[in-house]
Amino acid sequence: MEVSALMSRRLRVAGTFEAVFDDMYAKGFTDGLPVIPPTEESVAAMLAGAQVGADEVIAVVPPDNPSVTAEKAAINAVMAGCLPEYFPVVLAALKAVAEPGFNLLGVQATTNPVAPVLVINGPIRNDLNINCRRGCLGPGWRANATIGRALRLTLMNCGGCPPGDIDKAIHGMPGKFTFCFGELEEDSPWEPLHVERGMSREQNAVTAFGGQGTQNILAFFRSPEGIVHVVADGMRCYGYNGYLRALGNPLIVMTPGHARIFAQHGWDKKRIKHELFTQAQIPRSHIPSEQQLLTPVYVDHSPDQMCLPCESEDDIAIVVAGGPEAYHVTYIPSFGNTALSTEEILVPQRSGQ
Amino acid sequence: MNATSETIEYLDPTCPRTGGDLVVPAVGTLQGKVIAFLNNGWSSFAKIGERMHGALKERHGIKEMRTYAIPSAMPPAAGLLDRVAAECDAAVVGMAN
Repeated sequence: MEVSALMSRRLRVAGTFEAVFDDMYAKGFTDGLPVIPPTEESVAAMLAGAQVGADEVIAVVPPDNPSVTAEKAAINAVMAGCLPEYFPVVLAALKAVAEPGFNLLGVQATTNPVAPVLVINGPIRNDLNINCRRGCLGPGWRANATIGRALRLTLMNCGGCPPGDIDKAIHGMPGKFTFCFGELEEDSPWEPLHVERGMSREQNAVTAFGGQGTQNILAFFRSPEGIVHVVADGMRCYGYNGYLRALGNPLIVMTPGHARIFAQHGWDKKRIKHELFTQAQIPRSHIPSEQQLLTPVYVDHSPDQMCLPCESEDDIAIVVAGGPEAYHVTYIPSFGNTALSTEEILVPQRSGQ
Repeated sequence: MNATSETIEYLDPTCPRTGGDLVVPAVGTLQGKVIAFLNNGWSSFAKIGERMHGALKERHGIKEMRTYAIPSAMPPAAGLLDRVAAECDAAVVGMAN
């Protein structure tokens, strides 16, 4: 595309790349980490990666609610360090979080430590080398690191939501830099997440959760009953937002090793979700009856009535990812006031394909 | 890259801020009006509501303040805002804590 078609304001800095970073940091354009300067050429290349027009509106992003164009998303993707072939995933993620049910305004501005958690499904995981295996929630993979970061920079810069200001998170959390991984579909005995959500295995998809960090649960049991018991015990914390409204999508990231144990004993996802939902409930009598700052849905429950981690067992999501050992389970509590959102990743057809 | 030996040019990653135009006409005087109070469930906001009710009644002569419950940090139930608009002249909305 012609770079002259790019409509964004041009800013000029004398000096080196370090001077550009200093300038962008001073203007509040970064997350504090170094960024790649988004030049006309690099932004045009990013747009070409998705074969999308610069002026195409992708999403409305609160709290400022501008219509965010592909150009603005591409600028932030360049800054994050994305390769152009990652850009279709970034665009799909942006569309996913803009779905009304995701409640992006709440996610952006709340005092909670919440960020979009992106789960990638489909063949594109392998095409882009998105880590689904050991260390998938940690550092070391460019796609995981930069796709999630591109979304966060776009939300901050375009939505008008600088951390510590409009973003009111009391503590924040590291996942506000980036939070993206793939499901290890090849080593899962069950349907992958995007198939559960109505897509085919051949489709590429991103599912966004409003997640509140990671909690590790050491699950050394070898029986399904034992594993479910310790995971439910980790989930059973009435300080999690889900209990406040009995809403949201608690996310379980389970290794292929644990998934294999369940499958060998004939347990499917539905049964695991049922057991977790049942065992993670908390009797009202366990929670002090004094008035809280925010009135929870269980305020008028009788003492033996149960408080729910989410609305129904179907709201619990299970994704297989991580190293092969049946050691650790990662629990990602939900913001509560949010519903997961799945969006197809539209990968452009290249010539010769 | 559009750069000389001294200058690097980059594109602005932010969106231009649009003007804060009113989407509905201002209510003007509050005398004799029905005011909605959309309580988002925070106990602090309930206290603000009590004080505002008194101030609006004594200083501005409103006819009535009606309280509606809305969830915190998420949109209200479908149809609630239409109902409020039909029943009230203006609204105080609990957005935060």
